[in-house]
Amino acid sequence: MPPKAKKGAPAQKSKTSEDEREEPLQAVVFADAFETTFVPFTLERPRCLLPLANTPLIEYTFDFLASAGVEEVFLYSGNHTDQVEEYFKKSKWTRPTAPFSLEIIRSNARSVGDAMRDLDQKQLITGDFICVYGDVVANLPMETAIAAHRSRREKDKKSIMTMVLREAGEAHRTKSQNLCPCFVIDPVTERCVHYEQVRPRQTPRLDIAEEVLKDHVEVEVREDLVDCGIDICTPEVLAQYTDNFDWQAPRRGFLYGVLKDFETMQLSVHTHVTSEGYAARVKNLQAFDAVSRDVVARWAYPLCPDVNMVADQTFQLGKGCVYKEDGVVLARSSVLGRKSVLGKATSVGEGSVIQESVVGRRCVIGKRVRLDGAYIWDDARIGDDTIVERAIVANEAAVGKGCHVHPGALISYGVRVADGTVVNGSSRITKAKRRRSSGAAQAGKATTDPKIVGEGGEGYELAVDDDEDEKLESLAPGDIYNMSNAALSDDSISTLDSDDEHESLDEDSKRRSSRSESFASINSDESGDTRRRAADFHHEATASIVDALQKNEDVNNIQLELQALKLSSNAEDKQVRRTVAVGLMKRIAGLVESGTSPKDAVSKTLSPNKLLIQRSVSTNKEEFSEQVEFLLYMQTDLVHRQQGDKILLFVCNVLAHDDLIEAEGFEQWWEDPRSSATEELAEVRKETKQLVDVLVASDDDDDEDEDEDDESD
Amino acid sequence: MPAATVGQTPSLSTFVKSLKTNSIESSIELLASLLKRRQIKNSRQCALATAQLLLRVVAAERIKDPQKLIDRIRDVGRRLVAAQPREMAVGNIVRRILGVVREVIESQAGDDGSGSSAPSTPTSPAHRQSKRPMISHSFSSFTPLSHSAAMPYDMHPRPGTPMDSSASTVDGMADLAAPRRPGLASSASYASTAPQNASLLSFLEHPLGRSPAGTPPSRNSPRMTPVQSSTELNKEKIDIKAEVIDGIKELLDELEVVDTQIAESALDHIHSNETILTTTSSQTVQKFLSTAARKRKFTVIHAEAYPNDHEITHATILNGGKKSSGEDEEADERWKPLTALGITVILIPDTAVFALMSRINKVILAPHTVLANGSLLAAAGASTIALAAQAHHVPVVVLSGVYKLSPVYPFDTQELIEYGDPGKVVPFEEGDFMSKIDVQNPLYDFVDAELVSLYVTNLGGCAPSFLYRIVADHYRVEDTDLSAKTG
Amino acid sequence: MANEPFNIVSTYRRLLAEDEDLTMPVAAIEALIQGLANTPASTVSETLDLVSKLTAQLKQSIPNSISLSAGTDLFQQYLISNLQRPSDRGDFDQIRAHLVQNGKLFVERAKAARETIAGFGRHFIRDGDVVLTNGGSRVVGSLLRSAAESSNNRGSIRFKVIYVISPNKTAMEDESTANIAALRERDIPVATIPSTAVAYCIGQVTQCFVGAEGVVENGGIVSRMGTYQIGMLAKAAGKPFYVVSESHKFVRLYPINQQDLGIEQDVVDFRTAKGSVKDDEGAERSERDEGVADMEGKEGAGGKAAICEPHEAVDYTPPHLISGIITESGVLLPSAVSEELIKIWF
Repeated sequence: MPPKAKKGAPAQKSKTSEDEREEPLQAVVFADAFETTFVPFTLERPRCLLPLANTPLIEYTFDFLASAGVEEVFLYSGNHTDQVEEYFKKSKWTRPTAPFSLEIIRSNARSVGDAMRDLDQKQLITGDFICVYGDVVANLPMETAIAAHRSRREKDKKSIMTMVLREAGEAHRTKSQNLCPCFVIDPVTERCVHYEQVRPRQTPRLDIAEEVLKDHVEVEVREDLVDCGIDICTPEVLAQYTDNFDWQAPRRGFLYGVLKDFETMQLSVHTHVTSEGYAARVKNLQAFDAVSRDVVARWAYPLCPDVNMVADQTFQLGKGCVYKEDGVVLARSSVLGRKSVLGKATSVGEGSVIQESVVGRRCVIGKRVRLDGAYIWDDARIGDDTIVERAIVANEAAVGKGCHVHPGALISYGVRVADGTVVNGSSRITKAKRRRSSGAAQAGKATTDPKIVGEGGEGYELAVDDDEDEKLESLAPGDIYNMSNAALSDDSISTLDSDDEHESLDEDSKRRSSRSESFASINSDESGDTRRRAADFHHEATASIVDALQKNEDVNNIQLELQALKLSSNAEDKQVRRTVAVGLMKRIAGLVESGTSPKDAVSKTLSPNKLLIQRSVSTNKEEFSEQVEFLLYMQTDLVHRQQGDKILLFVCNVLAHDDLIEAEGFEQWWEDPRSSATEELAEVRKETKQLVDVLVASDDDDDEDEDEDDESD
Repeated sequence: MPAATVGQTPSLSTFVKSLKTNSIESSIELLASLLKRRQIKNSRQCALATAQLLLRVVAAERIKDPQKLIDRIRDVGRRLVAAQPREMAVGNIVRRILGVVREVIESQAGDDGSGSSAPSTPTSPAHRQSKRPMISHSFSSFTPLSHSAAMPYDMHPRPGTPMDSSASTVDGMADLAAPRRPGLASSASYASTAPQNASLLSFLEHPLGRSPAGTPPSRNSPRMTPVQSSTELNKEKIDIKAEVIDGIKELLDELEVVDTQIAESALDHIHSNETILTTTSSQTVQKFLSTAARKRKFTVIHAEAYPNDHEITHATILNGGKKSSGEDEEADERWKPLTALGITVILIPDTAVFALMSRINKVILAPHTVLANGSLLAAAGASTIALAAQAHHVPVVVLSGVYKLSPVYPFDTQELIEYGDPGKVVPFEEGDFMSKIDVQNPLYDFVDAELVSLYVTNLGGCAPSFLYRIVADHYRVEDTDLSAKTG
Repeated sequence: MANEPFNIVSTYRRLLAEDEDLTMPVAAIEALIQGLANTPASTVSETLDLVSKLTAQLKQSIPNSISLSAGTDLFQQYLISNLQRPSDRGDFDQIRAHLVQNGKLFVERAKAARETIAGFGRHFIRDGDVVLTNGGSRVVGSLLRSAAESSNNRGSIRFKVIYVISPNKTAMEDESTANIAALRERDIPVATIPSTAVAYCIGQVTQCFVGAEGVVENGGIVSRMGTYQIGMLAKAAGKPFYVVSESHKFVRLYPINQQDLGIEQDVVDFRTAKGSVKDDEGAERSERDEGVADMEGKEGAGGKAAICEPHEAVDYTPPHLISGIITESGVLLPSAVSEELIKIWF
């Protein structure tokens, strides 16, 4: 029996269908999940058009919506909107015969929250609507869920949202390995009373508000649910987003918020747990891998390649889950193993072995090639004797003869890997130059790096900044699973998508472990949970600051945003301080890397943004601990920057100048054992010694240390 | 659990409802996507949906040239078949309707239009009556060989050119050939010469139509001068549509009553104190058995058809055919379960089939599709049963409406079998299971013709080796290859 | 009108010799038409009479007349059904003229039919199949060839062919070698085995295709010696066994067993030290030859030819071994053949 999209007792069914008559069922789709777990591919293509088993992701989502009887769809596309529109111009969804009306909304929303608020302003939503990401692969029966939601809403206007969740076992390949949502549900009312993200067998406890436990006779704590972000919302949800402008993510932002002030607002969120059908989000490369395999192995039936969702597809199912389109040319001695997909007009050379792999259209697979769990997208070419394991080779990319692409490697659009190159698992090779500000790729060719792609190749290893370096080294090399973390880059950090949180969180915790010595004293007191939240906060906030600085936003806005973040994840001042420190340093370092002299960089960055520091660092005379902390944070951060020492020097100089930090502050900092805990730290602060000495010695001879600066330039 | 079938019931009925409102094109799209999503499944529902849709299409078509109509229907058919090649009922219905259209056209061209369009009460004898004239009137035109004259023209473009072009040529030839045959027949002293001309001899006879001087391929037969044909068409234009619609209505009636018709012969096949083995929750079989149960006492052993069908099967055994009916909700007559009729029903797992076979007098199966060569596709497990039956020399009776009978020759049986959701076998929750082990869940089995002893259709019983005749009576050769995918 | 220069037999042979693509039935029809052409027959009965005479000659003088009789019967029946129409009197000359002129056309059609069948065959052969076939049936050859060619537009069909080669070098041999060469040309791997090895390799075969000289009324076929055993082996191994044949090879003949084919072929030749046991048969045959001789001129050659050479010996494969008969108009079950024949004759 295939999963039925139309389901539920006839009574309900007919009822809902009538409802649909009176108010059209609407849906909001976020084509861009505001994260970059798919870098480098998302540098050049919108994520929702990435091919899953040779069918663009968005097709699955729309098919799901269509089968759920949706009549109006609003598609929020983040970057590459042109490509998205281009695609839909041609697709069947914009034809008059399409099951629903599609409206593509261009927006510069940087998070789901923004989009929601924008939607609220536009006044497009009339009634209940389904809210999904553009990467959902699902055939869940929605009928019952919608019916239940509506009946609830009729009873109680305060029940504003129903989350549709799929039961799945303990470990599931479509689930995130390291962090899973934990819902606390009242089984009677199906109300979600508490939500937290826990990491299995690590989170010691859930902190459930005791009144919750008071109110509810019985609660279920469920960790086995796949949450693929399918929510049935009332317009009220939008209003809520607008009211709380700091809510960004639907789960950690919205849900968390609503649950937190349930006492005051009395708004309730319900869950609909189903054990039928298939549901998964292709939220990162790990999920991409897992879902691809589900689809090919027919777990998502009937959403399998041989359904030929896109008009011109001609897949036919062969023995052992082998799907072939017309015009596939297999050499006589080539072997097509189980669970493989071959697109139209692809040719496979003599003696090649393909298994558990997805090969796009018009690909040319050479002789004696071995593809094992590989994902080869359209028009790619694989040279003779090459081995590609669980890795992705994107459109028009070419891998030369006798190469070995290790599991986890990502070879982006149009990259050429020269003959005989070995591509290791952690590398993400692309040709597109990435701009820090947004995911949008500029056409500008980046310099080819022969070390990566071999002589005569094209493309370079995607630049990774230090956070990522740490991640990469902290990850077991290879294996597509881990790429989900590895692929996290700073242009994603400005966004607050729940899944992004997973990633950032993971790497952040890892960073802690890697730097425990430097932070031991500061964070030693934090419990696992608060520490986690802190981690999230820090990561997000830093990112947003850096971002803002790049855009030279008005300092007040930055401050505001920071404040908002602080509130939303009730962070402590200490964290804010750290954030500001790291943020500023990062920005400065960035400038320095891009060639400006440390001095200019510092002055350029600090002078307009003094406010930040003032806010985060109290300058009252007797309490210097904050200042010390601030300096420490800067110092520790600068350890990893190039010319960290110089920067530190100038920063200190400026700070001293503007009396943002008192001489005593400097003194105490200098005394502080933590500031010289490791030799890097000592190394970094060496340059500054003179300055400090001078400061400590006397506050009156500024000109002198000016000179010193000049000398040290 | 009940959802398992209730799920489909709305999807068919909602589709039928939407037909009234939607535009033709979007209904076609809708049906295609419903088929793709398997929201309409099982032969009966597909048949109903297709017939309804085509009824709508024909009704909407402004028929200037019947050829246009044929092409149109073909085109729609092709799209539907492409959407779900394994639901052969779709293709069958399309072919049936094409047959009706051609029938009408020919009866227009030939003088006797009455036979085919005679309204008929849907009881089976009446059906035969209404069929007889059209069969005899251009008897041979149905037989596989009839168009050997036309075939070469049909087939030449085949290797290479896309289907539709050659398809149109088929029709072209067919229409050239079609009116001629009755013409000759009428001029002939005894009607049976007409078939001759169209049969083996055709490859000699064909050029006869042409004037001796003419170089054969280029020129039309004198009887088919465009002028005249156009005049013919003019007078067709009025009633051809009406007649085609009648034809389709007739078809729909047939679909409605097919079970009753099959059930009529129940008493000939089921005798007192027999032990009958059946599987799945086929409505046809249920009706068949319950009809027999009114007069006779026997025992039914019911294999549960795990994993795809067992829930419905249980439901059926427990409380009658309704749940399994798959009818659209208007027709929801819920007949009593067999047990209520005093029949002993024994439910067994599929694995016990062989062990029990020695005690069985008759196996009754309901196919998913019956293929031209007498073999059939049925719910997974049927093959096991058939083989077990053969081993114990137990007769296997297959109950199949004609609409399940497909002219498609099973070139590759593997291709016809659909693989379903492995989640039925191992629940989706078993995360590590599904990541480690390949699970497969074929929905259908292929049962070879020689394992089947008898087919009972709504036209009566017939041996597998005789099925080709029924196929020939119901489908036109030129329609057999609707689209490249049907194979 | 018997004694006139036109010699049906030699014409027939000539036609076959000229165009090796010609099948025997068609050649026979051709011959008859030419016969008509050279004979000023004016009335229907006269014509029919002539045709039957010619046919008789032909059948007599050609050792294995099964295949060609298909053609002659077809032709006669056609004349009867068309000429004997009271209304069509006027048509007589026209028909005759038409026949005489369009002789070639029939040949074209016959070949067209073959192409058609080849077109069908494509569907039968799937990726990874191993096809077993025997001898040089032209239809089978073209079928396999088209399958090999179609691989480019329908995606690659990777199939192999096992050719059963009869041990003794003959004309048929060349046929099959030609086919084999053609297939290998299109890089289809072909193995050639002696008929003794069929049982050995039937296991790895996925289906069998054989040609036929004639398809008889009960759906069985008359075909080159050895086909029957392939059929039995295929049945035993549960492999589909397809006959490929144009529908003009259908013969009105109902053989009970191998000896019942109505043609002389001394395959089973019992010998003692004194030599062959069946001299008497030889004797009666010789006098039949005289009968032929006085009817015809110098038919000695034909007389000697009247015994099948061992290489063109045929056997009869009963219908229950046949999974399907692939004709230009689709795949027939053996049971459908009789109906087609009946339609001509009654």
